[in-house]
Amino acid sequence: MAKNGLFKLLKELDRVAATTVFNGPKAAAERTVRELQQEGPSWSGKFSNSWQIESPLGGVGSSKGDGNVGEPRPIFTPAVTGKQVTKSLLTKDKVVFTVSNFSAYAAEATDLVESAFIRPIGEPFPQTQLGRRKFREGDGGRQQPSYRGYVGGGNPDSESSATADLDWFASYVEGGRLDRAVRIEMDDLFKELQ
Amino acid sequence: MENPLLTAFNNLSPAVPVYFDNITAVPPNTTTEYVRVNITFGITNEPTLTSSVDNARGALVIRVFTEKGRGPARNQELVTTAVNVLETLNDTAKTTTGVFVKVGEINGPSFSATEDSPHFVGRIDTGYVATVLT
Repeated sequence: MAKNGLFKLLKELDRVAATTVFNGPKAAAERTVRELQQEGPSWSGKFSNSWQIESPLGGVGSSKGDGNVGEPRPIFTPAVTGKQVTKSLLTKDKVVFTVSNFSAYAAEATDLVESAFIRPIGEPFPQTQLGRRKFREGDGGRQQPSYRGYVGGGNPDSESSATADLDWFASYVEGGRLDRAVRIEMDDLFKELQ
Repeated sequence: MENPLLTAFNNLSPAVPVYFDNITAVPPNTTTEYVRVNITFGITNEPTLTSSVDNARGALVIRVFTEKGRGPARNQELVTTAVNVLETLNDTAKTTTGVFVKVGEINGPSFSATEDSPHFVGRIDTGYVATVLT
């Protein structure tokens, strides 16, 4: 093989290795975060801006939101080369990216635990456009404590509302949309390699 | 999925009420044990080359509420009832017509209790795939 051909082959292998082992799953994680931000509740925006991606390389490829108020802001991490994907990573039988939310009330927001939900004084409606678009009210107030997605059933003179369906997180993870997000990103990347 | 769960809990002695979301409302301020079931929908069909397969996917979340301060055993017993129903669903043979349901791996149970609630809560969740057979 000519010298230039060998160099091109090595460069291509580097790109394929990085994409297959790391960049593909990384892109899937980023897409997953974007979709979770849209699916989940949004009142001030703190929860939807508190998602993070932890890569198997530690600091390289990890990224987190700023946890601040406002519309959901996507998180991105720079792509890596094959050289950066260390030999130990390439010999693993799986590469794990962890998507999680570091908000203090993530368990309440994902309907894992009950809590006493009280509308912030002076905020009758969500502060984000995303939240206002998904805003729904229940008949009367909440039974306290309750799960975030259970609205109504309480004091008829009170109000209760939610900006995401009950069990939205379980539905996203187990209802096929997470699988689809991963499939779309991996398919797109493999097409680029052709 | 709803009928087998309702039947299983109704057959217990004493029977344990089951509330399905948006169908029956839990009585306010109740302190006795009950079960809440939520069925959600994710992707509903899968397009193929010539048609679409009705392949509904979603999540099934079951919450078991028992009296707080009496230990976890009763809650675990009721969670086991729910788990047995789901496992029986998976053991059901596929027919040629109707709807065929399979559930995925069952996550949990996880347990929680808040300070102001009279209940100790156990939760399991799983994904399901329901295929319309023709």
